[in-house]
Amino acid sequence: MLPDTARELKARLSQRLSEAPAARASALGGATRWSGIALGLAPVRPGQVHLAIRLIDQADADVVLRGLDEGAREEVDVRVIGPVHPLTGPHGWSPAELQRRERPLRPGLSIGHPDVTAGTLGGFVRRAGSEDLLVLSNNHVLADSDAASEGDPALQPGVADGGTAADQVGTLAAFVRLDAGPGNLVDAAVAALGAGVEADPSAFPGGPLLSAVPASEDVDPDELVEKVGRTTGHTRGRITAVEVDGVGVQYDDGLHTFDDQIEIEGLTGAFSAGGDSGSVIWRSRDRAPLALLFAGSTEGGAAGGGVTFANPLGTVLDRLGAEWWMDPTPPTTR
Amino acid sequence: MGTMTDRAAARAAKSALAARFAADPGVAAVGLSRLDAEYVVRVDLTEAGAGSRVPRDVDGVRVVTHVIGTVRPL
Repeated sequence: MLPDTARELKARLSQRLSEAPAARASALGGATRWSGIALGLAPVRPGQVHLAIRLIDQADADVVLRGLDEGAREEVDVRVIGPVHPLTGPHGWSPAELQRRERPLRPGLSIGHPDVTAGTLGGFVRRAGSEDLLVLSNNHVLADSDAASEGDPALQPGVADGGTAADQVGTLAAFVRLDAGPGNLVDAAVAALGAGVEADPSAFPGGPLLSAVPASEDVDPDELVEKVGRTTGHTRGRITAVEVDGVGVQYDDGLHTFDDQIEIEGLTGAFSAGGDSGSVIWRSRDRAPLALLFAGSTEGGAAGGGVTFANPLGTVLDRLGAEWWMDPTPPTTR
Repeated sequence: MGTMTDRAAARAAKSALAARFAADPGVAAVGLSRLDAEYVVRVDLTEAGAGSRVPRDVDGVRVVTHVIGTVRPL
């Protein structure tokens, strides 16, 4: 039918369906069941459309079609699509939500050693021969830049967000020490989850990431990436450089130099800020997890918010003897 | 230059530059970037003045500079 004819039919049907629920069913032929409907126009060829009718339940089709004359029934596109849900999911990604205490644990939340302000819970890993989940973040977040000892607490949220001993979610299990000289590759640590602490490893903005981690030589400049972190939430950026050597990072105890790093700039502002350390960065086009965020500059970047540096995730996992864990099922206890 | 620079050629140029500027406090990092669809060497500077010490190309590979200031853990 012509688009204007379809619009008229749509308006007429809308009007009939907008009446009170009991009256609707009655007006449409005496049916007793009604659950919901969406109406629109579906193009079929240039200048011609069908009336698109989308239904929650097949039973509703009978109700609606009974309200149409014979000719109109041949010009409608009826589909049962089931209930429609918002795509935002149960989690929030605002800094305020990421900085509060939350269980089950999920990527992006505030976390830290008791002597550290706060960093970000990047994601979850497992070590060879064990099915126990571990939290992945930076050495300078979970191990206080080499000052901590294995077994020290990990707090969620971190101290800067009000975390106390009562918020312990695990214990420092391993970390890669920072070398005073050149040649560091990662700033990484893992904490073992405490008994009964639940985790939701797949709860990233937009859904789970891939299980496979690309090799660092397969990461290219100009790729678009995303992260979720404790301070700036969910942000998007662009890889500005790969295989970056000689990155001098000014820690509290002095300069540590890193090789083979990934550099990122934000698309519309800073990609990261203090407290986002430990965030896992993923590639937008295929959701492959790429890197572990750990440092940033004071200037530069197209949006003027500085550039972000990150360790290739494959190197992080190699150094920790761990594998990336992406569980597509709902929250689990370790 | 003539031909497009591939990643391997840019990597060799990057390694040479990284070694050359390893002790230069004006250079914050040296990596591989892409410009006009070809690989280039990107040299990050802590301050703009250091740019005068960085060559425009190394063995035919273009070199670009950007000022990023100081890098700190986040």
